Amino acid sequence: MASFQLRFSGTGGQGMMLIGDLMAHYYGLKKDKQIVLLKSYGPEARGGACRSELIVDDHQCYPAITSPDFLLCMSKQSYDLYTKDINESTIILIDEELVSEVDDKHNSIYKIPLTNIAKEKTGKTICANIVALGAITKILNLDHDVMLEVLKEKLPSKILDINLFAFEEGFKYLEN
Amino acid sequence: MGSYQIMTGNEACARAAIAAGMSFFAGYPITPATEIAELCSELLPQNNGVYMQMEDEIASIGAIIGASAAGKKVMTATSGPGFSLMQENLGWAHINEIPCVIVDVMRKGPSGGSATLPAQADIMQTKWGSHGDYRSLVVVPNSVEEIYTETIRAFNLAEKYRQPVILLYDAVLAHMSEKIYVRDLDEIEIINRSKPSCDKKDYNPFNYESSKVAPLASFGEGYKIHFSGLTHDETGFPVSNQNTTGLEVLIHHLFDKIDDNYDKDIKKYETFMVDDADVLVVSIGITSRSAKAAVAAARKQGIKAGLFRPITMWPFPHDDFSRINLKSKAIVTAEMNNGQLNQVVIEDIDRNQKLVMKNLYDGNQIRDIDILNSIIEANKYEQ
Amino acid sequence: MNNDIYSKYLVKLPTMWCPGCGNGIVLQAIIRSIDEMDLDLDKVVFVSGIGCSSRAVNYLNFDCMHTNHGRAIAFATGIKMANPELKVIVLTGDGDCASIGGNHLIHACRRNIDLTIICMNNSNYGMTGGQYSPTTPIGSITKTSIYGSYEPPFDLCDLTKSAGASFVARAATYYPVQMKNIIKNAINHKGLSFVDCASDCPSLYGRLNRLSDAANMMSLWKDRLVTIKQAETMSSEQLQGKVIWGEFVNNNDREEYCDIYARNISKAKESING
Repeated sequence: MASFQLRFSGTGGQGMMLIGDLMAHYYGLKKDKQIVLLKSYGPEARGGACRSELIVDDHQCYPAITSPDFLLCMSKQSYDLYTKDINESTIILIDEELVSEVDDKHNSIYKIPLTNIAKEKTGKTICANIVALGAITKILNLDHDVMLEVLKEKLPSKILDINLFAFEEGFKYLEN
Repeated sequence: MGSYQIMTGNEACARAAIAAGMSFFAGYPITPATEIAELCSELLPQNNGVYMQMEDEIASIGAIIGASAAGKKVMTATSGPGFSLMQENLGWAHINEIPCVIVDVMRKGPSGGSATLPAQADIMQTKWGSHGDYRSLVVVPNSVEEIYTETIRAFNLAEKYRQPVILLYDAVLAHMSEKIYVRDLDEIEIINRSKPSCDKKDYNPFNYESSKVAPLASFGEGYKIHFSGLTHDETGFPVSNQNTTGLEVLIHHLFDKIDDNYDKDIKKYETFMVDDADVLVVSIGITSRSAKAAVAAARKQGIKAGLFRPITMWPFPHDDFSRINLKSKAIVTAEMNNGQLNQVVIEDIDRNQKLVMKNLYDGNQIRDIDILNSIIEANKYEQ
Repeated sequence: MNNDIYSKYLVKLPTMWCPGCGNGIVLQAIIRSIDEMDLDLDKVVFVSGIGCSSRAVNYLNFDCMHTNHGRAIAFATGIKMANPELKVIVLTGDGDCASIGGNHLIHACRRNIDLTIICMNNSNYGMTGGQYSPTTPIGSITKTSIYGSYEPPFDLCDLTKSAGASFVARAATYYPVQMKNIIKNAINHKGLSFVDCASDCPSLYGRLNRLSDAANMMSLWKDRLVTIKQAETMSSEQLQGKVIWGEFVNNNDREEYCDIYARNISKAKESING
């Protein structure tokens, strides 16, 4: 099946659900794809590792990840838990300060101090997920301007500017 | 013009219910159906509607039946444990022909089971859950968009045929988000119960002439309506035990009003590549998506596979399925339980046909590859 | 009773109740109280559950709903919230409202929803042949307590008062005129009103406890019944075996649930406008 499967994982409070929403909005409403967005719910969403998962397809999606094409890990625990079903071409993005030790077998891994960038550039670590979104946009070669539109449509106005800034910092990071 | 939106299955259910004209929801929190209640508690009061959090699921269905008799379009939503509690009042709504919609978001059972894990093991309960003879009307969508459209259809069927309609889907569909097309309200067909036009003194709340459905007056309109859970005649008053005709005619009516109108707008199913199918897969809800992918994959391998997917689960479209099934040599049932759909289709299977069951009840969804393997196995069968 | 009242409010007589049953006295008190009030009869709905008492709705010429065992209050709550203009009266019994329907009873009291709940309390399950109920006095002989009932009974007035009902009273079939007046006050009260109607089941409870006939059972009430005022001057020893009747709670300060919900609607509308 030719679906594109993405997983965004971290710890509760890092905004992993929001990344899922924004990416679903991008693919589903801006790029005319079929999407399925899955979030951890109930007891499994309380504390500890959490994730949202997005399946993108031209046709109705099979609603589960078989093996992710893209994986974001923003905590050690989520890296340990959610790398079990990856394959050799899975693209991995980690917060390099929060996920200290990684397997050296990954073919395609990006290590970025996402939380640190958020802290230094915006003053708010909570923007780390949007820094990640900027990096993802670069890594997956997504449409930068369309992603900006998504942010403008989905985020409340009072936190928009700081997040647009965070997004650009993440996007720029890999250009350096 | 409508618009594309991204939402979860539970959100689609709540929004569609309100689009269909629901103005009264009573419920009790339960995973994985809770989000329906949450959204109703937010949206209904904005539109002068009533959200009531009752003391349990028994009270929830009781309250919606009462509200329906008082003229409202009503719904409750629950999962297996709560649905089990509702069965007695569900029977009351059937015998009194009260329009209402009941959502059962299936989780893994039995009993408390595994609250966050999906299953499809309430199929038989939605048909036979309450005691006594009655005709269940159950719709079973397989996508978020279909949850939206089938919720509206469930309300239309409930109002038109004056009886409970059950909307059945599982925990995965409840919580996953998809892109759906939401039509504007004026583009949606909405059916409301027919109201009496006779003189108030001549009004009877029931009409037991074969397939007729009596108009339904509301409490407070002066019709002096009588409802009773006891076997009653067309006036609503109990029938004596000596009146065997009276005791029988009510049961006939509950079946006839659905069976006689079944082909008009109750029956609904999807077929995929069934015309020349040697192997026919039967599946519902979330599993039918894997089944469809498996059928497509089988075709690529040169296996003539097809899919039969009921959207109206009950009454099951036996006539149509039998006709479609005539040419196949084998049937595959794929379902997240230990065997329920297979018991339905077995009624229509010839002794020369092979039945292959693909069942999974470990909390995971059935993958297309697993159904494909069942198709390959079924295809080996020589008649 | 005068025939005009019969034909105006009742249908399908005779009732199925046994001779001497207290339910007929309660039903009469209800329709007499309604007859004295200026109600729009089209806006009155009777809801009942299962049991001898609940059969009363089968004789009433009103909008009626004869529901499942214990569930009358749940159905009634839906009716009232769907159309708060309606006067919703629940007819129930001790088994129906205090045992199988006990949860609905206390939650209706907690909400203080404007229902009138009239409990025909005959201290046993009559429809099924006379088993002990949650109001059967200790020591009573019933079909399921042939050695004497051993379960402590509920005082339904204490229960509903504690649960938050804003009108709580006990009436007795021995005082039918006073019962009519109490029921009238209950129906007029805005908020949850509960009336415990002390009644008799001569055919079953009476026979099993060798209380002779209905007339004798009725005469026993004369000594057992004491008013709230009389009870105030009596010691706990003197109150042993007595049944206190009258209006225990008549509180108009507690906000009624339909009104509370109307405020919820206002807040919801403010949230979308502001």
